[in-house]
Amino acid sequence: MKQRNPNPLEEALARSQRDEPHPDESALTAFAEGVLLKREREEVLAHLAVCCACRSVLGAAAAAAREHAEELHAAASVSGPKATGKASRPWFVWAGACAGILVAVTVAALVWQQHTTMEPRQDVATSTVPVQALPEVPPPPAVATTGKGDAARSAPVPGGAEKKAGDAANQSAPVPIAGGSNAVSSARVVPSTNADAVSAAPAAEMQALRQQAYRADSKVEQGQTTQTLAEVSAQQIENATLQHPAAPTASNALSGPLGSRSLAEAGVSRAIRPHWRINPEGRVERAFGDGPWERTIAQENARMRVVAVVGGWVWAGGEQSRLYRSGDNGETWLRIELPQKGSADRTIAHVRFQNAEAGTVEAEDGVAWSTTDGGRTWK
Amino acid sequence: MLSESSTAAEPAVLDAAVCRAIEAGYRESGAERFDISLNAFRQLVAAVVHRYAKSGDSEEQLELLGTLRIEELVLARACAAGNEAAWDVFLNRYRARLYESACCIARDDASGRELADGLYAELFGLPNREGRRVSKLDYYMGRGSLEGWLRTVLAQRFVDRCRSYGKDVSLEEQVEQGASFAALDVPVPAAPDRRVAIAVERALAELPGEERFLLAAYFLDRWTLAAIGRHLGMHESTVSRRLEKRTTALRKSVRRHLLAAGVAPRRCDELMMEIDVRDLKVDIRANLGQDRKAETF
Repeated sequence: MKQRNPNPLEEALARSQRDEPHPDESALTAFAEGVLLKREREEVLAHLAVCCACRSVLGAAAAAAREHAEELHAAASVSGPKATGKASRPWFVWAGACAGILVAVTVAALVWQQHTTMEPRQDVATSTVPVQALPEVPPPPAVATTGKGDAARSAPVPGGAEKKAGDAANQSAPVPIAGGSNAVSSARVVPSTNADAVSAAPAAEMQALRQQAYRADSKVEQGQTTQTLAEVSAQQIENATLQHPAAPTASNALSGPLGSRSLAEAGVSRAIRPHWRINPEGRVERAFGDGPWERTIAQENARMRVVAVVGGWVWAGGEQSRLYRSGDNGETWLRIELPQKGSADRTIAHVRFQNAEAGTVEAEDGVAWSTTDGGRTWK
Repeated sequence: MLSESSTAAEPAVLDAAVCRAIEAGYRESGAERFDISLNAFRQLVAAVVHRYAKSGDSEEQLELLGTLRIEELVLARACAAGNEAAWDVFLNRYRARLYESACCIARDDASGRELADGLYAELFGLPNREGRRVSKLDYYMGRGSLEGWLRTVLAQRFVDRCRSYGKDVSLEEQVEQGASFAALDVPVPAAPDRRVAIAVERALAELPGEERFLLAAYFLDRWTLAAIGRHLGMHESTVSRRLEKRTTALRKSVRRHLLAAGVAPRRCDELMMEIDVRDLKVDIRANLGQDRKAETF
């Protein structure tokens, strides 16, 4: 038979059990419920450390309390709205919910504010889109927005004035917005079949427009038009989105120059976002929806190792310290020159950004570069 | 009505602020509904304050007053005094919970009911030698909830019963329980070196009560980390970390004591190799049922 090895610690702990006055039930209860005075708590703890009988009492009572609490909890969870009502919920649940709503509203307001502070987009009104290229879609909306109308979008109007402007635009009526001399006198929108259709069924129309954009990509390849139809569709989506602030926003930065302030830069989510991958040959590829994969950064021969989407930016890195950034979903790329740290032949393997501005790029061998200005400067 | 003599354990000489707090408590406690006068209430609370806040510091007394369950204390004392309205409230509020708790503690409905019935008799009051009915509720001091106190009393009764049951069990019952098949107790050999035992005892003696409670609850009683955490008011992960830290510190402390006792470092390391709290083998039954006499350190 295996003999039990002596354990001095166990023996000492057991030997320390002493016969001394036990705390009364009131004190034990108060200890279990955490309402003892500090001095008393020390005394009770010191006693509990050497009295297994009191520990047993405490343990048994605590187990019963726990079971009772679990039963109550189970009963509350099956007893419907009465038990799960306002009175049964602790205050911090509601506080948390309120805080969550507040944060969501604040974020939405910030995003909308950034959206409205963009430069006025005259491209919609002055667009010379070949409407014939879109047989199944009516002509793009002829939205005539005045400077004041644009100011109405960019001005911080309290009380959800932006939404009012959008609604008023749908109704083709002047938008009365209080606000002194800077107030908008009118924001007239010429009725458009397309816009109205989007107003009526934004989700369905958005889907149709997106599909149209995907189809447009293939037509561009055939050289049918000089302006990509994807842009046209994106503009249409954006026009529609202006009528529906809550709807997803298509970026007009799909063809915008790199570095210009775009929706992506402003943190607005795009309606059309491609999927990205690195193919086995080390090429960066993208695909819209269920469309085919197409290569981007065509001029680059170095094998790429990582592609990451951070906000509106797409980052790609690879061998020979190659690092590219695109602000237009891969239409154009800017090569980023990283400051040399020893060898120039490193392989970028990780791209980590906390936000659109601050992030770190790390090479395979652990060398890292950080930026706090969206990649303009690195250290 | 609660008589003043039944609550006045000792003369109450309290700070004016404490007296004001007690009087404010009287209005909130609902003592009037149970025919408890302000004077009786004052004596009742003053007795509790005197009992637990012995230092006489008014701040401590006020802190104590803040933690007292005045309303439940009044209810308990009114029940002990035989107030019917109080008993109605008590039965409505605690009867079902008392039986549930008893069944939980005894792990058996019949035993639990027996346990609860026994306590009920005590709560209602048993005549003492002088023939005066004495209720167990007289011992509730408003420290913690009345429900928690009832649970603790039940647990106390149950543990006492278990400890006494072990002595009274017949040989036949022991055979039925398989006790006769248990391996014979092998006398545990003494520690390889008496100096180790002394060093461990000294190291343990240096620990504050909370740390010793932590070690005893975990290694002797095999409480779960969560159970320990609930009693110490900390998360189980914190308990785990503290346990790890404490055992490490304990080993260092034991080693320090061994070195101080003149043990050579190499011998000290050899001895320490035999102490590893993670390899503890604790006989819980023996520890729970122990009636060992205290030994001097």
